[in-house]
Amino acid sequence: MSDEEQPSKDDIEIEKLKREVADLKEKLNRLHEVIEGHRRVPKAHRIFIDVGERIRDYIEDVMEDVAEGIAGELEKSVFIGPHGIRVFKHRWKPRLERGELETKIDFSKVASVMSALGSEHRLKILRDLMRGGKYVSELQEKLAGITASTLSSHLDILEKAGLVVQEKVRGRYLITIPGRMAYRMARKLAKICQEGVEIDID
Amino acid sequence: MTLTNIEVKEEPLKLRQDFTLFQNERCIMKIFKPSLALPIMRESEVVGYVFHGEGKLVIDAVIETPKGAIGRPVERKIETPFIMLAPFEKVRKLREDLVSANISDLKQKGYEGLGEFIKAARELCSQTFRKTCFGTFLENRSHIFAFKRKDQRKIDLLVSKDDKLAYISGEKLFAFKRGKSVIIKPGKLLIAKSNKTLVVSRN
Repeated sequence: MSDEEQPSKDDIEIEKLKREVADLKEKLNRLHEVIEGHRRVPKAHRIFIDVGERIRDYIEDVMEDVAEGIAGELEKSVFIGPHGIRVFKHRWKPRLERGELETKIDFSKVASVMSALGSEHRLKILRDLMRGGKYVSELQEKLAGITASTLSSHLDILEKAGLVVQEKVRGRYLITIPGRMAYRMARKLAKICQEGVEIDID
Repeated sequence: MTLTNIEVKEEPLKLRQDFTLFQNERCIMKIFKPSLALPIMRESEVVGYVFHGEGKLVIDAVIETPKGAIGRPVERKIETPFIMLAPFEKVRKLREDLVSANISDLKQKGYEGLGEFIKAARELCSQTFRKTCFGTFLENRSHIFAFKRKDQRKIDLLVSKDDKLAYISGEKLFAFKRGKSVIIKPGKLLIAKSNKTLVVSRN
């Protein structure tokens, strides 16, 4: 055999490297397949929670529900189509006419909330609760001179109007989000009424 | 690990005085006399009871946020059979307040005989333990309550240990740990941690 026909050491080395590269490529492809396979399985199905099928099913249902909710919100303004993502501006909605607005208001509910605010004691209770949840005894201390039964009846009225909520285990009273808003609104209204609206006639 | 080795012992008992089955700062579970009970055995050890009588569950599913409180307390009257699995000390303490029940006690709760009560208890156990894994919870000395509300197909589940609490009722889930709360309702997700609150709502 001549020298030309025999592969040189470099050629052998190159062949060896080529084979290694081919092996690595194959391994990489297999890894890609594994990763792709994992991607196809929804993440929620891969999580193992040791609290049982029922809870796991439930959580999956809830997560689907939440995802649907978020997707529903997104669909209002974002459209994902074959040509990319489009963002729509919010549609203009005509303002409600006065008559239409009035028919939408639940006056009995408005009256119930306004009536709940129509007491000095109840406003003071809301003010105290704005600083954090309180037990009846703490509220009674703050509202000097009020009897336990009067305080309880005021708290009942506020609770029925949805302005406060009572924790049944600890017994603390907490102001709700509408309660905070109602108290702020009442304070603002009182300020406007006190200061009056001045009209410059000159 | 499912609890396949759970057995209901054929020993009818009744409660001689009201008993607080579980209490922490968020939740209270009580049972009133003269509720009926059957011991739940696991490897010849009593790990809990199936009760039938009047029970009351109160959970403060209220979260205090800087913008105001969100949620409402949950109150459930439990008049159908329910399961309690509890740490050994609680089971032992409860046993002191349980005495043997007779046929008239069973009849008061609408059972014709012991067999009917045992059948109802086994059905509830089978429905509860068939799919759900409680082994880990039992070993972690947790309290577990499972009951069906009137006209409900699904079982309500309450799991609690120290200040941690999770309650699943139908489509709702409440989970609390000191300073952290999660409330999931249809179309609403609420997560609160210290002074931070995240609300995801469909509306």
